[in-house]
Amino acid sequence: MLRSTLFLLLLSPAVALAQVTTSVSGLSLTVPETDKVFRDCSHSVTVTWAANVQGLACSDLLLWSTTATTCGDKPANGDIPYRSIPQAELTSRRTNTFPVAVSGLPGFNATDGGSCGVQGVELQFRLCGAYTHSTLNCDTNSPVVHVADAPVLTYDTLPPPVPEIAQVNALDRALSVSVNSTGASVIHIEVRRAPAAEPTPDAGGTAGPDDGGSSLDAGNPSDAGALADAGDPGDGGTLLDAGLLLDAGDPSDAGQIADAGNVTDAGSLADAGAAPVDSGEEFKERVSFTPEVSFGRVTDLENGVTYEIRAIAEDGAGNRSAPSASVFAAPVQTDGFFSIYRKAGGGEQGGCSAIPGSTFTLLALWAASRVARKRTR
Amino acid sequence: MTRTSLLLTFASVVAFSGIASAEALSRQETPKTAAFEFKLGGYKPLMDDAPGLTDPKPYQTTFGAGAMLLLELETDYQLWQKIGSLGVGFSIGYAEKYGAALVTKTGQPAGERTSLKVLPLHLMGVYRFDYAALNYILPLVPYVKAGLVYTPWWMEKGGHVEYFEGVRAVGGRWGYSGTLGLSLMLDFLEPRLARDFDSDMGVNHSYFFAEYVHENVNNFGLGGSSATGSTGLDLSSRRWMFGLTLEY
Repeated sequence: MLRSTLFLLLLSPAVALAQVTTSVSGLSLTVPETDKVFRDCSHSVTVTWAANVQGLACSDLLLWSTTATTCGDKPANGDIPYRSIPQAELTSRRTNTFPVAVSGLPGFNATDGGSCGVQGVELQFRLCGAYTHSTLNCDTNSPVVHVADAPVLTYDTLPPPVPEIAQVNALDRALSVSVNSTGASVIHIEVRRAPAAEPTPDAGGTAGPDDGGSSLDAGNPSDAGALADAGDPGDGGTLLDAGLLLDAGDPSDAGQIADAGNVTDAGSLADAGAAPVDSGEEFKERVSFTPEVSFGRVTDLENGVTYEIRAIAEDGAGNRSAPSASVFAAPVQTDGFFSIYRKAGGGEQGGCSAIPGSTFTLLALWAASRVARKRTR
Repeated sequence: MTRTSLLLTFASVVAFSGIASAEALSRQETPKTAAFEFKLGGYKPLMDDAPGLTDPKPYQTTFGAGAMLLLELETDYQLWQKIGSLGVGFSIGYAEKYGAALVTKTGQPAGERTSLKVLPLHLMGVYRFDYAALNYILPLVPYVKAGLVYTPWWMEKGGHVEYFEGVRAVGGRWGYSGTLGLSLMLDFLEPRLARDFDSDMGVNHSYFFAEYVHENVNNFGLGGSSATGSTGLDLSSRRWMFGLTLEY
């Protein structure tokens, strides 16, 4: 008896909760993720509304957009209303779509004196909706059903912050570039041959006392200054040791400092597949990668030639930042394991190494003789 | 008293395993024709010891003293089963090792990686002495394997196959191998589970094993062309492998 009572006591709140959950009226507005951020005034967004009316709808469903951070119960001054859904149509579960033109959003509408096309701004708009309902009788106290989690549209013509080249690794006929950025969805790497006045890295130079094997932080002037050779124009052409890592900080220091030693998994980097960069021409975009990848690999470069590298960030709306400070680096010839092995005297020539015919013949003859001897016993 | 207790405990464990083995024996086994092995071990090719190589030794210089982790899958087909089983087996493995490439002019570590990758293939004869494990209380199965080895290899730099003086760093080396191993039959630990494993899945016995592999993979010391006397890449090794066998 006691057990039954306990069971009922435990069960009843769960049942009540289930009833409440299923009897709540709701309203949702949905916008495709790809349509939420834009910079084009001719852009139009298709919004899907869905109403789940439990009981009676006591008003029309109002739909509007606002620049306010909250929606409220109905459109306020300055908000842009869209067509309302008549109360009579709000029965049970209803859903439909309506278009929202960017040029008609609050502040962009000709009637409120604004116009779309402002550059260098990031404006947010909320899409709102509301209706009142009651489970029994509609009156002035009937509760309002708001949009759960109102979608936010972003008009974005503000370029992302200028990225910063954190590190450049000199590879064999290639460079790998890592970039620090905020707010970017894509990083573009542009490359060109360095103008003649820029110092030429010397892959065969001797490491200075500060070239001990750790990478330098990009943008840290103290790092640049700490290197004895930095900034000395007379050292042009011999400043870089091995061309492995370059400081990416102050543009004036670019190309003057190097540090050997950091190892990067070049195989995991995005490959650039464009034509070789020609001498003395404009920057060419050679590789693009997402910030998650963090490295871009520019290939088909010439060893020993100094290249000027810069990064550009692009955000989700397609805005491009100004180019980063330039970094100078030169690819260097490297030896992989096969070269190391061969230079150590290894005689391997590759290929499938078919067993020399004489060896197999000898083995076959030996096996045959053993079998023959066994049979004669 | 303590010694007596220990002896009694040992005796009961032996008796239990004997009973378990007897129980395992008493059942109707499904036919047993093959075995599958999964094994892991450290593979360090003896290439630095090959004749004709100068110091510094290339493997040591590039990859250090560590071995490669070799994963192998093997399947054996049993041709004869009386006192033990005799069969033929084939295995395929894979191992890779990464290190920093070196800047040509300075010899310093470069900003890209280089790797050695091997895919050892074995064709071998296998003899397992499982008579004692199947008929007596001793759950240990010694075995030997011997056969031919062919090891395709390739070397990469910066994620691509490397070239040196026009030679592509891809090839294969022949050799031979011999293996001594010892398996621990696991059936006595859970006889009923082992019986169900057989009746449901057809797996007669399962084993943990350790084996010592002695293999010479250097094209039998022939071939190669080097002024230093090197006969090419030596992928020979002496290694321990550990794994699990399923006999079915």
